[in-house]
Amino acid sequence: MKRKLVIIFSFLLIHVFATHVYYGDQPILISSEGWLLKWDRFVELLKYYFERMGFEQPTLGNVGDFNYIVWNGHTVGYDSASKFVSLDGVSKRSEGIDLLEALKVFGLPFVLEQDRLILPNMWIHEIQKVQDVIEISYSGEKRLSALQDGGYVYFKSEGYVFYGNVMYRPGQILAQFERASNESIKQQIDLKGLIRLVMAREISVSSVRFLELSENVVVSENELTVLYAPGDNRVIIRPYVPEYDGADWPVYAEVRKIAEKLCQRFSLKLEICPLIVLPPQTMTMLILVEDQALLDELKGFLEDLVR
Amino acid sequence: MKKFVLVLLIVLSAQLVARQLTLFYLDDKLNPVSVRQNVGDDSDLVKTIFDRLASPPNGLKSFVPSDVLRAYFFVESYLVIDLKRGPISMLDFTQERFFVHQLLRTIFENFSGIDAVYFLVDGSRRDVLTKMVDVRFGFARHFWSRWPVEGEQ
Repeated sequence: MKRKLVIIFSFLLIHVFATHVYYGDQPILISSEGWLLKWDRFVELLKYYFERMGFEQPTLGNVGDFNYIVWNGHTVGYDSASKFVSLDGVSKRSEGIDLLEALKVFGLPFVLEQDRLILPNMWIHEIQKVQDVIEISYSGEKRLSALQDGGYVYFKSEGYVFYGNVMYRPGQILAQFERASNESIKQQIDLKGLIRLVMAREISVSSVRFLELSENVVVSENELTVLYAPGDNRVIIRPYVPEYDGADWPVYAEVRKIAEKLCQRFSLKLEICPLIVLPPQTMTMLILVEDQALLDELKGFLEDLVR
Repeated sequence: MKKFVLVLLIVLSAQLVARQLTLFYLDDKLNPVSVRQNVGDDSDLVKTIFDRLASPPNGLKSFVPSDVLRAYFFVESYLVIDLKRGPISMLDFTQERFFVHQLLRTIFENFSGIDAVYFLVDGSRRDVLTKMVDVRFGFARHFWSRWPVEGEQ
């Protein structure tokens, strides 16, 4: 009985005084030797972490007693006979691999919380907003949620997320984008390593604005913007975008309905073509007319239509 | 008689092996005109489409320039077409649009498994093809499985 208690107590002591390596919130290594790891344990840890993150696996090699690992252009080596560690060519005597130093050499981020070393379980490479789509490319697990509140869309960390050289803990906001009052997240598409948010606006146009075709057209949200230029009597509208997965269908349907009525009334052709001056999810169209005197009549018709 | 039957059989088997392409050219009023042409079964169909569209039959026109295809590849149900900037750089607004319409209409007609087409120019993603046509997103089959201009002909 006494022996059993000693064993249990020893295990508890080891556990309490051991150091832990976490992948986000999951323990992946317990070490009773602090951050100084044996070569094999260090290599296994890295290989396991890279696999979980979906990173390229490191290159391993050895020359006699000198073992080395290369990843991302950096090298960590250890000579088990002479007990020398080499970090990117800088050597020093050591009984093992100092995990903190080795991670720094490889440029791998981590945070220390008491006896825990936490590696990120999501690594965001880029967050970008192109018109109505926000795209997040990442490695590891999806540990991010999108919230919309007030005039912003926020991205909140749901794990240990590395982004822009900063490690974010759970609950922290790591990015935000402004949004218009009538704009909201219409759809979230989750692919491996990619999150795509499609923003959509409610359609509420009540006026029409005619502008001569130019490269610098500013589209107003609450208006039907009609660009015009000399041409062969046709109306051009943009098709919906396949990547939006239906989020832009309501705007497309509304623009098409108006364009069809216009074409029917004035015997114009209706052409579908994605022009750069007709941004996705906007109430815009381009009219090409031979007789510029017709423009007033067209405008009057459209104003009656949207009123 | 025996010789005639043999020739007939050869012609018939050649017809059976050949694949037919439907190509879309334009008349003087820019209305589409479809033309069916035979191609060999082992032809590179995408390249053949570009070559044939660049050489319209008499009386028809095309805005597809010759030697404009740089590369192409299929990704699941998408076709990515990489174009050379040089041959398309001189297209005006109308030519640019109808180049796209002709090409997409022909591709979607002949490749039933393709849902969308993407364009690259000189190996890179661009905002516009030459000046006005937005190529940042895919071109969906839905719109080019028929001619994308409706109304008065």
